[in-house]
Amino acid sequence: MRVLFFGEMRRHLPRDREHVDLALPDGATVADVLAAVGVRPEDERIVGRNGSLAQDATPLADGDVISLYHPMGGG
Amino acid sequence: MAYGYWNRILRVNLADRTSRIEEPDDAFYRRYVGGRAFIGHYLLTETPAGVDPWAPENVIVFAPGVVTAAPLPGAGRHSVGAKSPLNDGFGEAEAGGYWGAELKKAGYDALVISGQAEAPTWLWITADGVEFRDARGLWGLTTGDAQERIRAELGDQLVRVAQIGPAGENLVRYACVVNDLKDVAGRTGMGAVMGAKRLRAIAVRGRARVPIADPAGVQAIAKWVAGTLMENHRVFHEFGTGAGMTGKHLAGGIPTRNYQEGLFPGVEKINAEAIANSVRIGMESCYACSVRCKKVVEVTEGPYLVDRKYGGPEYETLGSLGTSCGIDNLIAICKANEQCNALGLDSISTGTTIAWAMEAYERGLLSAAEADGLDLRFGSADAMVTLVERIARRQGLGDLLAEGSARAARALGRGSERFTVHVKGLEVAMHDPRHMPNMLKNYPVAPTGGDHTGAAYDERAFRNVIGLCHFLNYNQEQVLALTRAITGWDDFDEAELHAVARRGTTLARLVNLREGHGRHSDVLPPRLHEPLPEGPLKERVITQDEVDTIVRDYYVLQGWDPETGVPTADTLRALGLPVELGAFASR
Repeated sequence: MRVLFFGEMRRHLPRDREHVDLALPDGATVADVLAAVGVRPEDERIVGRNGSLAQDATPLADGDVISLYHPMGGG
Repeated sequence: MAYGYWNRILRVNLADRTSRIEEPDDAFYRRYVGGRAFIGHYLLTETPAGVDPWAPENVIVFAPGVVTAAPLPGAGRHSVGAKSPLNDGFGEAEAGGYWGAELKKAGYDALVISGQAEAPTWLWITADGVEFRDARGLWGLTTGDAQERIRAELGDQLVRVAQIGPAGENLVRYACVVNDLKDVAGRTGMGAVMGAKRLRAIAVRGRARVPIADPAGVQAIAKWVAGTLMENHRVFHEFGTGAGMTGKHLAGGIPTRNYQEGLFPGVEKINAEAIANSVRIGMESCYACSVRCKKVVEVTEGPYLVDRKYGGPEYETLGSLGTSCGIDNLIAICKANEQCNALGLDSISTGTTIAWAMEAYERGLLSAAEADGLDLRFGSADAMVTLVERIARRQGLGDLLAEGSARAARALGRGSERFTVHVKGLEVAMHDPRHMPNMLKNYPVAPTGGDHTGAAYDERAFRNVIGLCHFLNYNQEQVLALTRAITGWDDFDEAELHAVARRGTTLARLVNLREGHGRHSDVLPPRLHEPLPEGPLKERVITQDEVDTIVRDYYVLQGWDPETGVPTADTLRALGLPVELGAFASR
């Protein structure tokens, strides 16, 4: 599956990359994606799965696109 | 020797066209430090209670902090403050860019302006002093045209210009101060205060280096920012503000159609990523900053031409003139942003007031005739862009909207006050407290009202005192280290950081109490207590009890009376402030 990083979450994205592709075992959830890209449980985030809001326990399927956002502040 | 300041505050009286230098002393700087605290000090000591914001007796303070102009990312900030014509209390706005640093480099720690000029005036400030110049030829011009004339008159293209536009001249209550055409001190109507003083512009040129106690220490922190850019400031460097707005939509908390809703599928057409892929032609920096988060946009064909010299829209503008007005036309939003900067309007209050008018129109509370024949339904990009200019020039419906949403609703009546979205008269920024707990904690108690910077609480409040950008991801240790390195206050510790922050916040509170903002003003508007109709947050209701608890906890945190929010005598003593200020404020 592909992981996209938006806003403040781009600090978890390796330099010179625009996305990360992951191969996770069957039964993986959003929480596994977060752990794999270095987002800690206490970090603020909003997660989208194929364009819809997802929770940490949301199960994943092959081909999913996971989008990571931060509840951005002012500016 | 003092470090981080000159011990020189420039005082200007527009009425008799005189200036002088005030030289407080080191104790003054250690106590007040700059920014918000300077503003609170001068408002409390030099303006009478109940001062009319338009009156000559109101003072307007341009206040950098001890960090401003240090060779360090984030050191380009300064504050502008006065009694506000919008919230009728503590007025304060912060800006980035270069102007505040230029004032410091000219040899001044702050600029305090009183009186009212007999005729339109602009000021030319250098290390040699102040010249009062004739601004009659600038009156009515856009900021771009005025800046061009000022620079031509001085024969110096590097002069930094803080100015108002036609909106400030016309006393639009949320007129802003525009620096270098694009870095604005936006909130609480500071441009209108300049307009009332007939002060069109302040041009500054400075060439001195502010003395720094430990240049190597400052340089080390600056190098840390540059060396860890992709780890700590990547999104700001690549996109600026407004990246990842889609997350707010997915979470159901993006301010939509005057905060009636929290979902806006069109967000992907107007976010910072869309800007980067279409109209953005570059990124610019503020003073000494390697992050370079300021978008520059340009549109050279089509119905809306957008001039690059006015920069580009920040997140708050994409929200207020975009999602809150139901508009997903990026070019129209860029045009409205350009017009806000050219005419001198705060884009947050402008968009939020237009969104209120759109809701009034859709509910049949504002007739087609009263709307000047404009199609004021949500999503009407042409109407929104048209209204920006009409507000600045106080034409037609724009004259009503120039009063701000609170006053406009009171004037219109018909139940329209129920859906104004302001705190203390200041329109709420683009962060729905039903989605963001930190904004829920901030809005009711922020000194200015619907402020988005979180500046009610110490960490943020401290930055508004020392003149440090909120976007720099310095941790508290680094903030303490840079404060010590700049000032040489080697024993400046965490306890003093909190004391400095609370001194500024308490001074602002005393101004508000003196001007009539007490416990009753520390609320959320009814609209934000309503549930959202759809989306992940539709079960979320902010109760009055929840807000009451936040307010009470905040008063306790600040050392104010838990019921009234009046700073206690013990707190004033602990902060080194005159106890009489508390008694005066609570009368």
